[in-house]
Amino acid sequence: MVDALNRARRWLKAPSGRIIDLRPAHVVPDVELGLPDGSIAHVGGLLVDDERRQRHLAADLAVLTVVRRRLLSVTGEQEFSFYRYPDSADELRDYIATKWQHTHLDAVTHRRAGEMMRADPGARLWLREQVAIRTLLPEARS
Amino acid sequence: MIIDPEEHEVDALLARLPAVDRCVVVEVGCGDGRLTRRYSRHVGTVLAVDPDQAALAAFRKDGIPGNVEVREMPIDRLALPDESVDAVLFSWAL
Repeated sequence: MVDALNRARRWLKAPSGRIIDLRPAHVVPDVELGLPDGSIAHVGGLLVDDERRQRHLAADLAVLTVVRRRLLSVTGEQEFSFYRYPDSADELRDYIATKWQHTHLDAVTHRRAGEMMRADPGARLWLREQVAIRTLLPEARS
Repeated sequence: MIIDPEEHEVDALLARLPAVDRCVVVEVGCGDGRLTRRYSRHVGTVLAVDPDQAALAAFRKDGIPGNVEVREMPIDRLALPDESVDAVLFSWAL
């Protein structure tokens, strides 16, 4: 990852070229339910394999490394919530199983989401990821 | 599945691009083009790369925007001239 950032740095035009790093800020996405009264019920978190946790840590370490080496500097960082809205708990389970390799919707959370939706037909199910976006600018060219 | 209808992601991205309407972007990890489609109409050109053949097939299936070039490769095989790009986006890819 450090090599990838360093390659990208060389491609950037001076003086305004930049790298934008967009990825989850937290390892575990949350399954939540928006209720008709405006409140939000936490249903559960997804199960995350060690692979995803290690990749998350490695990405953070790569950014830290290029900053420490004074190759890039972080000039701005922002977090936002990124939502996916399934029609049902089954759709959420199938989506995660199809799209994601190292993250799973466990049976308990899946069942609970279904039960909560049936108990409150006006509720809306979603998956929320906290996402970070940061700008990295070249410090020096070599 | 409805994904990011609030467009928080693309808003945050566009706010960070320099000279956005003429911006030359390299997107690393474009996948099926979900995000690429959303921001590409606002920028100059996009070179979108990803090593995942199946994801790129899904991207191509729905049509590639005219200002987007797609290449199937990891970033370590991508050769570009120095100082030729306005922004490199690591799209959920770092």
